[in-house]
Amino acid sequence: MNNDKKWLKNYFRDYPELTKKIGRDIETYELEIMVKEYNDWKGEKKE
Amino acid sequence: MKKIFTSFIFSLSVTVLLAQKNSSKFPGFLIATNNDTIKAQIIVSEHSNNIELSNLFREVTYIDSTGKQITVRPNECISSFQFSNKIQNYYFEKINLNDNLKKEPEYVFALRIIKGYISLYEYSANTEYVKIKPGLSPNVPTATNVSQRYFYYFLQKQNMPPSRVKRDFSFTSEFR
Repeated sequence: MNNDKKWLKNYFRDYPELTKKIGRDIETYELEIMVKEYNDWKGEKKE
Repeated sequence: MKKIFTSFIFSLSVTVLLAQKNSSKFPGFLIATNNDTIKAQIIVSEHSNNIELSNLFREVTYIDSTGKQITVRPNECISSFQFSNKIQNYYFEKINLNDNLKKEPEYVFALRIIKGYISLYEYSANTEYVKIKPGLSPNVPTATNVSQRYFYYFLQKQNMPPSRVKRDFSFTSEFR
């Protein structure tokens, strides 16, 4: 299982601002927020 | 007294009737592993007028264009399916629960919560029953068996296989 901070930091590594916000215990709603934020950032970057 | 008893029985019957499980058919389609699209009516359970998705993680029953009712499981020929009620669109995709590629794959249908550059999926199942000893919790005065519901979350980058990122559990139903 990959539920550790290190794994998530690596997964979102191209968006360092987001990886700084990753806490030790990740709640499900935080995971949703992270994914939404990442997708918004990626969308803005592409425009 | 008789009146009170009659009204109690009536209200109990209404509650039981309302809580009964029904099923509805929603328009949707399935994508086969060979990329064929199957237009279908997806059969979904409803509980007290709420849509019940839990059965769809392990199998999906649909009615095809000829009116034939078919049930498929994730290890069969379907890679995804979706349907829509008037409120929301639901998309399920076949995902392997087993992280270890050397082991036998354990396919399930997972619900997509977010679609994007990274998509987020959820799968849940009652996988285990546990006995809680009395006195461990003030809410549990006697030994109680509870079912433990697991929630699995997957992240998937575009054109990449999904990775399981998180597993949660909660005690959902109680029985003695």
